[in-house]
Amino acid sequence: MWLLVWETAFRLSGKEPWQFAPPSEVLSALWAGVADHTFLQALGRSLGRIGCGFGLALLLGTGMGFLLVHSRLCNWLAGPLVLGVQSLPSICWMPVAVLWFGLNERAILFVVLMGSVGSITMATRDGLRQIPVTYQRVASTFGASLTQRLLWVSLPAALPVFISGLKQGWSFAWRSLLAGELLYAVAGREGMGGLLTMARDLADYARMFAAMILIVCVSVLVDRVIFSRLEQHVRVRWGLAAR
Amino acid sequence: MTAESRSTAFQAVEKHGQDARATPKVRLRGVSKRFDTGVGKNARRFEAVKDVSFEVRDGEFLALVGPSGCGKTTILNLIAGFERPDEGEVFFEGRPVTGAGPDRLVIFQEHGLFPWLTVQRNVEFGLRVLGLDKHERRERAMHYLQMVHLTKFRRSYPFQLSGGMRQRTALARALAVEPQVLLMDEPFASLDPRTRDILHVELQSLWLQTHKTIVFVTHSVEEALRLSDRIVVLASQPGRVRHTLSVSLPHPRDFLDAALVEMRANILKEFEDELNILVKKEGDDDWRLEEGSISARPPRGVALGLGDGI
Ligand SMILES: Nc1ncnc2c1ncn2[C@@H]1O[C@H](COP(=O)(O)OP(=O)(O)OP(=O)(O)O)[C@@H](O)[C@H]1O
Ligand SMILES: [Mg+2]
Repeated sequence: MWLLVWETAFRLSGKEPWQFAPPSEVLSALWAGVADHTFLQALGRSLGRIGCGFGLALLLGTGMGFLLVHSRLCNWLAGPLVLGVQSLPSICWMPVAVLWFGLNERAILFVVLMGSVGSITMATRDGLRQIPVTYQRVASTFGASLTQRLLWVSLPAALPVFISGLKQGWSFAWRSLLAGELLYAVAGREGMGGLLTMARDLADYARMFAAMILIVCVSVLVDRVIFSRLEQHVRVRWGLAAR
Repeated sequence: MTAESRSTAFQAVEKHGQDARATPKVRLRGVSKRFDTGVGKNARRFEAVKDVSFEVRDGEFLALVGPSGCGKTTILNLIAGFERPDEGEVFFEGRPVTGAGPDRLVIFQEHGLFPWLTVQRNVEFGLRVLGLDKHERRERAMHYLQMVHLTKFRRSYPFQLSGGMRQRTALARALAVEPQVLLMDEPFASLDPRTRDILHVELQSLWLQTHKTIVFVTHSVEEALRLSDRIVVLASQPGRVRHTLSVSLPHPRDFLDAALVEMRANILKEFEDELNILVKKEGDDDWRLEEGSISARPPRGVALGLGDGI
């Protein structure tokens, strides 16, 4: 359906194929890219990078969120900082990253990390802050120790809010990754962003659009298959949503 | 409150000290609690509870009754150790209360079950805290689930249960750690009368079996009369003990007991001014109850035709 609209728009606009690729060409470019493995390789690299960067952000962000809630000093010192950092588009970290790490994998990981660690920190903090007093009191009346309370009450009670934040963190991470790869495409090791840059440099617009389609598909798929499902499952179980 | 206005079935309870069989389970001595309310220039200290003293004997079922906002929950929180008094002291078995613990287990108005655990795992929560192994935990959980007739639902999650089933799960969870004292904060207030009646019967038989010490908070005079040995009637603004009365009728009891119905009418006659205070505080200033409009109504048990011992 959208393909038809696209094809018609192309015909009506009267533009040359190198300005505005028709779907027929884009689809064949997509097929070609998949067939010669360049797309899948690039996708694999991108996913590897985001996996690392996002994993790191998860560890760091959760830890920082805990500190913000449980230490007043940390909250006073770092609270506004986290908020400030989060308001900065993560690609602004790229020059710094290149300065510190050089133009390599670690620079891109750093950008992904900076892009998503803020939302994960916030999600952990907000998740922990909204825990009903009753749960805390149930834990106390049963005489739970600090660790028991943390592991068996605080963590699961914070989960619904945390997962929503995770979803947001993921989309930020994905954007940061693409921006990073787009700016600093390394030949031979390019990810999806690099693929876009290369296609643009070669004026291969069909291939460029094909790469964009793939990017959208992957991010939608990850959101649908992993995060939304997880979120829905938790919300139902926690009694926050109907089935 | 004149002496004639009381039925023979309840008398003002003897001053403590006369009944010195053992140290009381719980004792409050001159307890006051204030809260900061309002912000900015509206900020002031609000006296929620003032100079409250009473005691709970071993194995006794004591009800705390009073209108909404009179400090019932505050008093329970003080006994539980969730809050510290500003004045006076709270004792548990003769020792000052310094914090919460499984010897004084609280059952909350909104059941407080963990939604991420199944019924059985909820009941096992306290046992895990105590460090029991898996086998023991399971055995004890099943024992108490049987007591509240919920073994069939042990694998369900709280969101799949009705309000009454949740409250029974909360009861099983509390009983599983075998506390000496149960502190119940309006545990049945949000249930329909039918379910509440069933739970009253279950709670009475449970209490007759185990003879735990129970402090039961309610704003329902009927509920207090039906369940308890002794009733502490609270007055509001500030929250204080108005008087204490004992209900010396055999258990299990029913709403339809003629003696209970009569006692209820008498208590409500004395309460009416108290209820007017509540109305003024929680509503508009010109909201007032008509003279006799509350005590003249038949008891809820009668009106709903609740049967005998269901
Ligand atoms: N944390 C708090 N901060 C400020 N005021 C409080 C706080 N807790 C209780 N209060 C006030 O203290 C008074 C007594 O509250 P409490 O919850 O003990 O009443 P209650 O008898 O349990 O009422 P209800 O029957 O409605 O549950 C109320 O007026 C309430 O507004
Ligand atoms: Mg209350």
